[in-house]
Amino acid sequence: MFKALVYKEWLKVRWTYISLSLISMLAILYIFLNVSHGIELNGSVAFWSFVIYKKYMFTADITYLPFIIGVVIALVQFYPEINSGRLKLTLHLPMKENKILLQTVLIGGGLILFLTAFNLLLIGVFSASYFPVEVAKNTLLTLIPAYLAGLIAYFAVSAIMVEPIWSRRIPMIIFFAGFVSVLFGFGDYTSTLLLFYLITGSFAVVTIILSGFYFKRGIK
Amino acid sequence: MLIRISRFLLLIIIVIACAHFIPKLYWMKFEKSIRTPFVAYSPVLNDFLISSESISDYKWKDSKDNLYGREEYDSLLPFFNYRQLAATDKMPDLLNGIEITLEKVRLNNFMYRISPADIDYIAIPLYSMLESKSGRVNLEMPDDFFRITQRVEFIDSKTNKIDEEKSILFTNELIENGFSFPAKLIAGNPTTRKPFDEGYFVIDSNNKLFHIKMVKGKPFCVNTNVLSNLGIVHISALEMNLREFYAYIITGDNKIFLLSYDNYKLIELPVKNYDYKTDVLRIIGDLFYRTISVIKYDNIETFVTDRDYNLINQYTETWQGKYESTAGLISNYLFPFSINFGSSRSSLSNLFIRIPGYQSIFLLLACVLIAVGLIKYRKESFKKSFTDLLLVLFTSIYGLIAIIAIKNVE
Repeated sequence: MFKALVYKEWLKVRWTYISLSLISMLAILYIFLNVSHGIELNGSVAFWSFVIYKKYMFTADITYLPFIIGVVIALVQFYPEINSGRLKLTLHLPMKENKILLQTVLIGGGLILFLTAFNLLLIGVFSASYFPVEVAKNTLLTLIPAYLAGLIAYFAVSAIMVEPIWSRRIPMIIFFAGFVSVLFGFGDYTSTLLLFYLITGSFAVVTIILSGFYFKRGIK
Repeated sequence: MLIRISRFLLLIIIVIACAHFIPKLYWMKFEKSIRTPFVAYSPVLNDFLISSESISDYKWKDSKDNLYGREEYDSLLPFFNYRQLAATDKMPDLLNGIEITLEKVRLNNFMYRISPADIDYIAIPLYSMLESKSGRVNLEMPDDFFRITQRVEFIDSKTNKIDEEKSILFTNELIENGFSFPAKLIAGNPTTRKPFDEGYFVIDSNNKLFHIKMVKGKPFCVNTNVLSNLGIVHISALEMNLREFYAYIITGDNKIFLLSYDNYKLIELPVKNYDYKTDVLRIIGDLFYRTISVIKYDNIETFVTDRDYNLINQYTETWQGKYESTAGLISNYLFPFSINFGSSRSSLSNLFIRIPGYQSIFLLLACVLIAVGLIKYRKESFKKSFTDLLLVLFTSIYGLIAIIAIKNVE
């Protein structure tokens, strides 16, 4: 059953997912083309100094990309479910509805996590080819909040999509937006803060169960 | 059950968002700027001169509350205002029996500020080793950057490869001088905007402080013999033409030392009540004095020493801090706690939780009553709403907002 669900979800998101993967790859290529251009124009010493001493974030252009990926995947995955009432059918499958909903978001979350790992690997490899490993490490660390925001945004938007009533949707949008926005701040995030966000952010994974409950009750 | 849990976790997310944004919005609306006074020491009056918000524009006062106008102020602080005085030909030639020249004034003048955010900062551990005796007037940035891990490694920025020869040369020199790898702290000024280069001050894994630089392409490494049990938390290295001290050293027990050119002797500054985690330190030097200010959020303590660092005078001024202002007092009643992710006392994004105290209990009780009313109004059972009440009991207004926004499941 899970395999069938994976296939069903994959059919829904595949073109969007492949496009977003391509976009993120192109964005990363763009960033490092920019780095290489910057090094050529300013000289490696000046560029390295800027990155090392001033903590210039050459990846700043993709800060919002993971967030967009998370939101778009959730929309693509859940819009048809909600709009044409397909979720109603899904919830009538011979499976516990909570389980089905959780598995659905875990599939989407898994896809995003995979893309995140791939992106970070690419950025890590590129960074380490242009800069010492300390810079590569710092670059990845500064991007973790943005990718975490993408994941949380995915789970949040999924739950918001499934939630049938606007009077609950609107507060959910406002509070989730506030919650996630903190991850777009500046400065180095300490591991304490990242851990805090990892734990509290994971709370958003199960919000879909509450929305699913209201959805089912709403259409009964 | 799972539905209840998922709702409760959502409530927690809402509480976190509220505990951050509600106090933040409150302070965006009501925070008033607090200008910390500027305190200097006049060699003419032998007294402090203070400019602060309570005094109207272009007026300064001394510690006995006598007021001075702008031009008087210029002449009372001839070292600080030497450019203005020299331009109007009012610079004294003699002060307290000592001949004054512009060169002397310029050489001895300095001002330095260390804030908690400078100390709570994570640097990328790569540094530039400048040539300190190139024979050229201007300093130049080298092509390579170094790290001190299990050895010294120089990485050429052109190729991103390690320069083995130079790395071995420096590593051996450090080992010969008793350095034990890796480095715990590396402090220096990797910039060409300084008059000369003194390289780096490095704490090794045995807490010994070393002075490392490059002289004519060769490594220079000296054990400063500074006590290893000092508990150094911060070193601000500076290169000043005065060449009196290499660096400011701040220790875990909030002592401030100067690392002097006299065989790396430590000079302790006679400063009290300094806390490097919360206070800004401002050091002004001139031909006669060292004026050291410890600036807290609601007071300033200024210590003046002679050039031998003997305390000669001291001044304290307090003002209303942020949380003692009307808006601050009200905030104590409103918010049971607040969560911040940034602070002026840190360069890092971290969790900063502020719990003001008992005052918020009044609103807390009101919130619990409202929650009880709400549960009754919504005709929910108290047994099922127990966790909601508990949430409000612990998070006051934030929990109340959360349970209003997301109704309990029946």
